[in-house]
Amino acid sequence: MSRMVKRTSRPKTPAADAKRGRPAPAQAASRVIREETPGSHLPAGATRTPGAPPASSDKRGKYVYCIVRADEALRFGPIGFGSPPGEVYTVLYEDIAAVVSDAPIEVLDATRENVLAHERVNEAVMRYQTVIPMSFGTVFKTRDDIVELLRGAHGAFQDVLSKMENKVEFGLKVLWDRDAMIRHIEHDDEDIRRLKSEIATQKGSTYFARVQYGRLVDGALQSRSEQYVSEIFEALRDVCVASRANKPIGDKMIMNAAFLVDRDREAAFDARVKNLGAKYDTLTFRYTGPWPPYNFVNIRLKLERAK
Amino acid sequence: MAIERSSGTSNVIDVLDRVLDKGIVIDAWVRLSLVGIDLMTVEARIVVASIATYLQYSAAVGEVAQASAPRPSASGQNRLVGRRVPIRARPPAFPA
Repeated sequence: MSRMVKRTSRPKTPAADAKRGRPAPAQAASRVIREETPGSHLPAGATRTPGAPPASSDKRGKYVYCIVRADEALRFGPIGFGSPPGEVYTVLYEDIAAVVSDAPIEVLDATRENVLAHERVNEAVMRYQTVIPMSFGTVFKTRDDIVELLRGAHGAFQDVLSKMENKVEFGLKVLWDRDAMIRHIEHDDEDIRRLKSEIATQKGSTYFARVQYGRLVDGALQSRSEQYVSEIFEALRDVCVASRANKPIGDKMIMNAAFLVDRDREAAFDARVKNLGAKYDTLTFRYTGPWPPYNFVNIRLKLERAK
Repeated sequence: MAIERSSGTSNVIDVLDRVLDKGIVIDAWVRLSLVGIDLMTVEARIVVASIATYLQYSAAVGEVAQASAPRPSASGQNRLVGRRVPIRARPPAFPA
């Protein structure tokens, strides 16, 4: 089963292992892989201090990372886009603020660096307060445009901020080894086993036997996958606030879900995922977080011409 | 608390999964207009087109789970048959 264990490509230092302060994981637990999110290490220079926006800021566009509650102007340090990294600060309207940094007024490409920078800022801010993440790539021309955004959607932002208060998102992808699962099914299911031996020994056409075999195996795979998925959702139900099932990607993935978890229940959620890993030793659990609640917030905005 | 941590390129996929179309989204054409030349606050105002917070999903976990399960497809079956059964040297004789 060692091939199911994905490990970091980065060599682990003994110091890192010692810091973790635990023995090498047992085999069952190692099938649960908790991956770091891009912002799991606070970027250098990240802070949260009251402060006015940087002086040159009105001449350039403003990239918006997220919306937060704020009573005063804040600065989060030089952790934004660009090289050197742009200063991240807030544009305030009443009791909410957009977290922004200066950017050229152009369409920002979704390159690896840019996308990771967007996420890193969100996660840095998230350490201090609840965020509503903005989707990638929104640049406003001026500060006034952002104030207009905050004014126009103030009610929606307030509503969602209170609903997401003190909550974070975790991602859980569950994968199986399809071929190994087919072998299990052949072992367990008498009809499938019989068909398979018929196909192997039959002298004439095996066409219909093969079609039937394929149907039976597919059906059995589907019902097993459904059973696993509903058991996993059920096991996590009382340690999360909400869950969302996204479409699995590829042949091996049977579950691609996001869970909204109260920060106070994070340890409980973590322990529950670990238990699942021990219980289902044929499945691989890829586990990421904490994320800003992307999967639980859907605010669509549009522009309307003013009269 | 950590179980097993790893880092690497798979993270970018998880990030892309989230940041491209989730959270607060301004319609794509609007986003282009915003970075264009003419659009300013005096001419346009931002309105909320829709808002949903998915909290109701916790009550309907069972149904969500079912809806997410992979469905067998015709191509999936063909692939399965083709892969699991060795190809025979002579073409199969189809019954008349």
